[in-house]
This record gives sequence, structure tokens and C-alpha cells, in this order.
Amino acid sequence: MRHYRLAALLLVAAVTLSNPVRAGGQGSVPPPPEDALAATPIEHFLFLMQENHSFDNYFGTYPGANGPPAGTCIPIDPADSGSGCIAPSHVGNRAVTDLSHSRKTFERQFAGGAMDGFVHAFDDPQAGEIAMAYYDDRDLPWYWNIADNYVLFDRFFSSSASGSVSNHMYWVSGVPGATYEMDTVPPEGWGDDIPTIFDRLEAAGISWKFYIQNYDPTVNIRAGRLNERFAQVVWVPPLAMDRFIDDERLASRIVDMSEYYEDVQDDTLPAVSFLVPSGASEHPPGRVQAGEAFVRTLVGSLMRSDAWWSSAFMWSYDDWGGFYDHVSPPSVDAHGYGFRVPALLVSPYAWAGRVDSTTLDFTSGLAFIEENWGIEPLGDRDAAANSLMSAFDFDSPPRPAVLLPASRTVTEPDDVNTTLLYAAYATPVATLGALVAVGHRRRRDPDEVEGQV
Amino acid sequence: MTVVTAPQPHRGAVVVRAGKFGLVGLIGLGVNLAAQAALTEFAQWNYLVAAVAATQMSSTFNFALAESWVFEAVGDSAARARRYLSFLLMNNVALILRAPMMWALVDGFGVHYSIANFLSLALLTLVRFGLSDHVIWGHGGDLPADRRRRPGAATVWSSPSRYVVDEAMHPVVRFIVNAKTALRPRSRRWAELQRDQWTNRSPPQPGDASPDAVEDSDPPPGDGANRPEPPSSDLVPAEPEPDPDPPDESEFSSRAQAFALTLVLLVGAGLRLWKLMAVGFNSDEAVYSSQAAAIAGDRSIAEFFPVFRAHPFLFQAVLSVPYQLGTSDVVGRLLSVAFGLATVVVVFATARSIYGARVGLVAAGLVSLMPYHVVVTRQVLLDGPMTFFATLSLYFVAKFVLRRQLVWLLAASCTLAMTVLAKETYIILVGSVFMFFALSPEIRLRLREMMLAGLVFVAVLLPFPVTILLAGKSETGKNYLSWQLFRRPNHGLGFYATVLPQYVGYAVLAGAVVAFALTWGRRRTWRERLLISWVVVPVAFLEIWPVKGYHYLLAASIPIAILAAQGLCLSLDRLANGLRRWRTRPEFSSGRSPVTIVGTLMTVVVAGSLMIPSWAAVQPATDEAFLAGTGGVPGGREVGEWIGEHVPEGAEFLTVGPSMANLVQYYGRRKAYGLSVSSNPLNRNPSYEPIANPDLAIRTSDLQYLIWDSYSSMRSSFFGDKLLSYAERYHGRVVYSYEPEGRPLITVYEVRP
Repeated sequence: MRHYRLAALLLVAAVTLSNPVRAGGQGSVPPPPEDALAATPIEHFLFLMQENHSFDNYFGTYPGANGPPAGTCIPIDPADSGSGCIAPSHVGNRAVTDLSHSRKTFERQFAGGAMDGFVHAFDDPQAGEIAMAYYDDRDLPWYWNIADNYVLFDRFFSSSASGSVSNHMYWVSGVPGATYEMDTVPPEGWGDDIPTIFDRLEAAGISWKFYIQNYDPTVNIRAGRLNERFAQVVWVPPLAMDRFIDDERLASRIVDMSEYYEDVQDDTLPAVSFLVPSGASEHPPGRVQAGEAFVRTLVGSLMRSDAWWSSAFMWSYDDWGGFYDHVSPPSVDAHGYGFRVPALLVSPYAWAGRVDSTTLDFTSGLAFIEENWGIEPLGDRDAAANSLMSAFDFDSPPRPAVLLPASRTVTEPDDVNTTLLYAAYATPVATLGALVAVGHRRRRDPDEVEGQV
Repeated sequence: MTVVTAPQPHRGAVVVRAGKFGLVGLIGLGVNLAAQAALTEFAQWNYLVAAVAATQMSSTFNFALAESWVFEAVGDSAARARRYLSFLLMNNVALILRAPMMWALVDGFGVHYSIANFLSLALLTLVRFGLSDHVIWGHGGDLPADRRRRPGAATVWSSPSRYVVDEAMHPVVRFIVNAKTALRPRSRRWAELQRDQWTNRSPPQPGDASPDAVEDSDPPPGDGANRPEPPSSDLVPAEPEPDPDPPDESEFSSRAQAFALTLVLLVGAGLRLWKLMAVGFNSDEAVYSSQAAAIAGDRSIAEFFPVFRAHPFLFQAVLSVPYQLGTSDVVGRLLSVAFGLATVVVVFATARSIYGARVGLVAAGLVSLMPYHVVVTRQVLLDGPMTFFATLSLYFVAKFVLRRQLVWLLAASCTLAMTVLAKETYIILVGSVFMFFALSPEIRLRLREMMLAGLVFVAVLLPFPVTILLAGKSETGKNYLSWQLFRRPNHGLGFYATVLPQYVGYAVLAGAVVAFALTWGRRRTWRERLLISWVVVPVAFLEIWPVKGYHYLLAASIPIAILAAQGLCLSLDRLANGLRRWRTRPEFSSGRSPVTIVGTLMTVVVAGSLMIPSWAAVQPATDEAFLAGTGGVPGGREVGEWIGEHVPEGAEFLTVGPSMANLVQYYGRRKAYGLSVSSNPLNRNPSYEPIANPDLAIRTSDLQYLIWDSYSSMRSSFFGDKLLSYAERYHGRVVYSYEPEGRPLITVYEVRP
């Protein structure tokens, strides 16, 4: 027994020492600058970018949200009225493929505003069926629970009517970067002429970090497009900008996702955080549940930390991924908007269970940062964009974190009929009382003798 | 019964009684302050709860003195109970009235608060005295004592040659005198009683004055009619056999009995309340308390603990009544203590009815001090209430045999069913009843009576299946039954034999053996058969039953204690007879009797042999080296409360075993899974939810925390190590550690994929 106890204690000590509670600091990374005061109680804003789903694809059937009208059925060939149509249907067990989500596909699906080309845009009829498929709370229970308890945006558009490259650029710089025709990163990168929100924050002395899941620091624009992990450059536009590669101070802000967990636990979270996934981006054909678990882990870590009380965590999807969405996007310039994408915001100050229908796009995140920390806009888009302020209720006290389950099933406690139960258990007591009373009355019978057996 | 008519002293004027009343009040104030300090500082009660409890204690103390010294009241136990309740009510009302009085004096009249305090106390003391003197103790109390007495209320043996005993004596002195009387050899006392029963006169003190010195002061009404007639009931054999060891009813006055029993209860209460809340609940306590809370409508806890589990919920239903005001650990444990002390009273009543008051008091003392009973009745467990009802059924069976009235058989049947409603395992006591009647052919039962008793039993038992059926949980009951039948043994056959003797008390066991041996030569009576039946069946059944628990045999310890009390008294009598031969020696011719010396020594030895381990057992455990069921889990409450305050709602935990999981759920109101809970339904408690794949649960963020505890790990090192391996694999970070003596007993890890 003694040996066991000693071994157990040593094991506890080993685990404890191998994962010590960090006292703070970032190793070789310089400490974050003293942050300017935020205009709101939000001192930490975090924005995660997932990939490739439309709003209707995830939340089209969410109660109270703007989903497809009843009877929606998209023609297989809009030019042929006899071609039939495909109605939105639950994705079920169907294999979800990576649908085309290029500029060209957008235009075919948009069909000049008719919004009836979502099936016809694909040559493969099966791809058309997948485009019309949707997920719901059977597949995304945690996302739906979040929507029930925090804020779901149902008029949040992708900034560019194109794919990942330009939308990621809008996300950090408010401009598309890529040309209208070619949604690609130039071989030489974005150069140093496009200002990003990180430049603004750095100049203002406001801390920031870019957290990347499975970050490989050797992969940047100079690694070449043939690098098998080149996608990292698309997700993290600063990796295609020379100053973020060459300037050690700026480069040190681009870190692996593991630092996010440490920063959260050590209460060293910067004011502004951008986050991107790697394997859990929900990009088809990847499992959406894996992405949901990833986001849940990120949000859960924040909720378990002290930083929760002054944070707002938002996530969205870089483009619609080729999936159906019934809302025709407003035209704000030559590049956008694209179709609606899912977007949710979690914060102790977020409205509880609100569907926010403010027209927003990725530059709305920039607008919020600029408004909250008093930074000049980067360009026309973010200057004109609606901020995220409508999602917050700063008049109410902050709400404690609740780690929501990845299940829509609510276990109800046993239904106890208290009256019946009390009546049932009071009966024996009453019976006993009556018997004892009768017994004591009979005791007075003078014929009785006790103790004579 | 007989009452002395010694010359009555002057009772004194109202002023004298008022002075005495005031003095008692002052002493009571000291008791109140001491009790409140003890409850607050040592038992760690909330000071308001302690104040209320201290008031009850000091009121009880004051009542005892007022009853015996100030008003010198006599009467039967029912009258005394009425006076006691009235006195208690009056004092509590006075306690409530003091606040507005103080407020009026201080804020209204500008009186200094200390003067206001004194004035309110003085005024209320006067009012209380007036009420006590005129209402509670009745009509001024200046009536002659013989008119205030009730027939047969007290038995005081007068002995002018050696003891001058009269009503003017201090009650303590009278008690000592009575105790000396009680220590006389039993056989002689029985002979005297037999004679006295037919003459309806008091038996004289052996070797003392002539019977003329003792006379009935107030003969009972219906004197002639009270003579025992041959029993007319058909429940006895045609030819009643003489009882070789009938109860002795002449040993103590009822006042002395009440005084001694109060003393026993006070010591028992002290042991049971000492540092009652120093350690939080254990797993079982958490479950039963949660069930009560769920019945009371506390939904915050109901979601973690199903109401319909393995056991019926008589105790939980009772506990749910105070829980309507809010779930409280201290209330749960106090209710258990109350059941424990009530059991002591029933033990006294049972032993007194079958062996006499002396054995009754000794038995009550044994149970009051017994470490086994003390330990279990300090916890929110079903075994304490179950033992109470089991003892009550023993009492009613004895009463049935003594009185030969069907109503007591029905009462026994009712309490037997209530025993089952407290804990279903003790349906085995039905076997004890059968065994007793089978071994006692002289006690005949008619078929009609048996059927009526069976009917009462079934009718009282019905709530359990009916409530389960109406709640649609009948499947739950079946699952529990199959699990209980097929689960693996948790202890070996020697568990009870090796663990329990030290808790029951070696002196108790020795006493029971002595009782058994001393009745061996003679024909054993129904009394021993009854007690042995109440021991043998549960012990035999639970020994065979694969699942063993420390507290399972508590009910069987009660008849053992009664037997032990009888054995101790018998052996003392034998010893006294032997020692009396030495009384011719000069050193014993005067001064203390050798019987007194031996009796005192025996009392000290037996009480000490129980008191010392009980005292050790009620000290708070500070490490994991304690037997399951002997108390709370050190640190469980602290960790749970930390979780409740610091961990977000909805977080889920993985613990080594289900015990810690229950504590996390109870105190922390967070979902917790026990790693050791089997995924095979046949190998787990149906209430426990297994976790099929802990790795996956952590990877998908379904689990966010791990809890390692030395208590569970010591019992299941495999799962303890496994949990630590998860902590290492998933970036475990210590967020809380309970280290009462510098080493971790419980460690909480935060984990992530």
C-alpha cells in the first residue's frame, strides 16, 4: 500500500510539474504592449475564420432566422421549365463533396439576381443535390445551442463574391487583394503596400496575435505555391507580406494555436486575436463535426478563463462553398458582397438567443476593432461597414460562461408527484400512530398484566 | 407501584420558588452559552442554527432542574412530556419576543442596549416563572405534595436504618439511593416483586426496615381490581409457564429513569454532534440528500441525481420536508442524529419492557456510546432510520408478547414495513419474525391475526411500488434488482467479522456472550429468542449476500446491545452475590458497598471501552485511510464547492470512481463521470452513467476536467493511474489541489485536446 501511495504521489507530482501553471510571459516573444483603453467592456476580441458554408446550409432551418421560404425548389435548368427542381433537403448520410465556389460559380448561381442557378451551376447533377442539402441541429447541435444562447447573424455576407483568397484579405485588410478574375495569391505575395488591421494595432500599441492551428513557421509566400501546406498562406494573408516575415517583432505575433490555450489560461490574451484552423476548417469534404468540436474547444477554453469576462469570440466562414443560400447579396462594389455565410458571436455581453439581422460582412469585424480601440479605418469597405455593436448589450451585467453541450437533448429530471409521494409515505406514519393510540387506550384495561409470559 | 409517604417538608413560598427559578435560569444561561460556543466552534454550525439548538438544550436542562428542584413535580411520563413541551414552547416564544422588546427599549426609549438586554431577560424570566408556576406546573404549586402526586408515579424505597429517603432529598441523592437499590441481586428483587404484585405493597429493602416503614401514600385507584388475573387471551398456552427471568419494574423511579436516560442521551448527542460538519458528505450521503432535495423541488440538483434509485425513500421523504426551505447538509445530518437518539430511547423502552429499567438504561447507554451506532447516525444514511424502525418493530413484538393484544402485533407489522421503506434490504426481518414465533410455541398466533398482520405489512409497504409505478420507473427497479443480484462481491466473507467487532465494542460483544452463557443452563425465555432472531437472520443473510457494507448490520447491533446489557447486569448480580460474602470483613462493614464499587468499576470500564473508540471515530478524517461508510470524504465538499464557484456551468468532469463523481455533482452541480464505472450494464449501478471513450470525450471537448483523488485511487490504483495518464496526455493543468497536510488528496486538472 505504501508503495502504491508513493508511486501515485510521484505520478501526480510528475504530471503537475510537466504541465505547470504558467506564471505568464511568452518565452522569446516580446511581451505584448500596454493596450489602449477599449471603448466598451470588450478588451479581447477574437475572430475565427472557418470555411465554405452558406447560411442556409447551416442555419436555414433555425427557428426565427431568415431561412428558405416554404416551397423553395431550385430548377435543375432555369431555362427549361420541364427540367424539374431540387428542394432543400437534409444532408443525411450523403457524402458531401467540395463544390466549386469560384467567382464563375457565384455568377452562375446568382444568375443576375434571379438566385436560381444553384443546381444548374454544376455540370454534375449530384453536385446540384449536394448544393441544396443542408445541415441542422442533428449535425451541428453545439452551434445551434450557441445560437440559442448568444447571437446568430442571419444577414452576414462574405465580403467577396469569390473564394478564400479575397475573403481572407478582406478579413484582415478590408480590400480584396486579389484581382476580380483570379482569386489567387500573387507569386510574389501582397507586398508591403496593403495595410492590415495588424499594422494599425501595432502602431496604436494595441496587442494582437494571429493563432494558426498546426502552424508551420517555414511556410510563407517564399516557400512557393507548390508547397503542400501553401494553404496556410491563403488563410493567413500576412504570411504573404514581406514585413510580417522579415520583421521579427511582427513575425512573433503569428503563432501556433497551442499558444492560444496558454494565453487564455495565463490571462495573457492580446486585445485582438485572429484565428484560423488547419484540419478542422469544415471545408468539405471534411467533417463538419470536427470543426464544431474545434470551435467548441476554443470557446470552451476562453469560457473557463478569467478573460471570459471581457471577451467577445466570433467565428464565420470565408465563403459560401457552393451551397445554396436564398438571400440575394447586396452589391456594394465590384467585388461583393458574396452570398451569406454563418456567423456567431459569443460574449458575456452578447444578447442571449438573438438573431441579429444587421447587414454585415467580414469588414464589420474590422469596423468593431476600429470603433472599440479608436483606430482609423483601413479603407472604404470597413469605413462603410456596420459594426458588430448591435450584437452587444452593454447595459446588462456580463453573463457567466456556460459550457453548452454538444447535444440538443435536454435531460429532464425525474418528474416527482410530491403530493402523492408525501401522501403515500404519511400513510404508514398515520397507521402507526393510530395503532399506538389504540394500544395505549387498551392499556388502561384493568384486566391486563404485563410481564407475565 | 408504591410511593413513600415520608413527612413532607415545607414547600416554600412563591418567592422561594421564584428564587430557585431564577437560579436555574442563570445556570441555564451558562449552559446556553457553552452549548452555543461548542456548536459554533467545535461542531462548526452556523451561529444562528447553533443559537436555536443551544436554546433547546438549555431549555431541556432548565426543565430538568425546574421539574425536579424548583417545582418538585411528579407524574407519569405523559404529563411530564406535556410540561416539557409547554416549557420548550414558552422558552422559544420568549426567545422570539426578546428581539422586539430590545428594539422597543433601545430604539424607542433610548435605553442602553446592555440594560435593555438585562431588562428583557428579567421581565421575561418573571413572565416565564408566572407561566411555569401557574400553568405548566399547575395551580400555584403550593398544594401538598401528596395531592400533586399521581398514583404510581414514583418509587422510592425508604430505609430509615441506612438511608433517609424522602421527597425533600435532592434528586441526585435520590437517584443514587435508587441506584443502590437497583444493584440488589435480581433473584431477590423478583421474589419481592412477585410477592408485592399479589399484595400490592412495596417490597421492603432487603436487610432494612420492616415493611411497615413503607406505605402507600396514594394507593392506585381500582386497587383490588388491579390484581393480576390469569390471562384470558387465547394467545398464550393453556398452561402458562413461570418465567425464569421476568422484567424487574421496581428498580428505579420514573424520575430517576428519566434523569439517567437524559444523561445517556446528552452524552450520545454530544458524540453524534461533535464536529458534525467538519468533513462534508460522502457519496451515499450526497445521493440521499440529493434525492430529498429533488423531492423538495430543487431542480438544480435533480438533474444530476435521479430520484428513483435503488432504495425506497421514507427517510428521503422526511428529509425533503425541511429541505423545502433549502438544501442543507447540516439539516440532513441533524435528522440522522435525531433518528439515532430516538433509537436510543426505543432501545431503552424495549429493554425495559423485557428486562426491566436497569437493563433498559444500560442498553440505552451501550447504544448511545457504541462507535458503530455513533458513526452511522452522524451520516445522512438510510441505515440509521432503518435501525430506528427495526428497533421499534422489536419493541412492538415484545409488547405484543407481554400484553397479548393484537394491536401491538399490527404495530410491529407496520414498523416492520416502515423498516423496509427505509431500506428494502431489511425485508429480511420478516424472517426474524418467523424465526421468533417458530421457536416460541408458547406464543400462539391465530391465522386471522397473521393475515391481519400481513395485510398491514403489505398495505404500509405499498407506497414504494406504487410511486415507482406511477412515475413510470418500474424498469429502474428491475435494473437495480438484477444488478444487486449479480454484482461482484466487494468484500470477502470475513469482512464483518474482522471490521465490525471493534465498532460494536468488545465489551458489548462480551456482554452478549455472557448473557447467552448465563441463560444457557436455564431454559432460555422468549426474550432471548426474540433478540437472537433479530440478530441471526440479518447477520446470516448479509454474510451470504455478496455485497457487504460497513453500515449494513447496524440494526443487528441493537439486539446485541440489549443482550449485552442483560449479560452485564446478570454478571454484576452474580459478582455482587459473591462479593457480599466479604461484607463481614471490617473494611466492608461500613462505607461503600462492594457492589457499588464493582458496579462503578464495570460502568467505567464498559463505558470507557466504547467512549474512547467513539471519540476517536468522530474526529474528522484528514486522509484517505478511512473505511467507506465511516464518515465523510475529506476534501470532497471543498473541491465541489470550489468547482461550483470557479468552473463554468455545463462543464463536465471525469473522476477516478463514481464516489467522487457524486460529490462533484452534489457540491459542484456539475456533471461528472466515474472512470471505473463499467460500460457493461450488468457490472454497474444503474444510476451511474459510464463514459465509453474518455479519449474521445476529451478530444471533442465533452470533458474539460479530470479529478484525481487519493481515496478512490487507493481502492482502484488501475483507474487512478489511468486518469493521470489522461492528464498527462491532454495538457493537464492543475487548477485546484486539496492538500490538508501538505500532500495532495484531491487534484483537479483542466484538460484540452
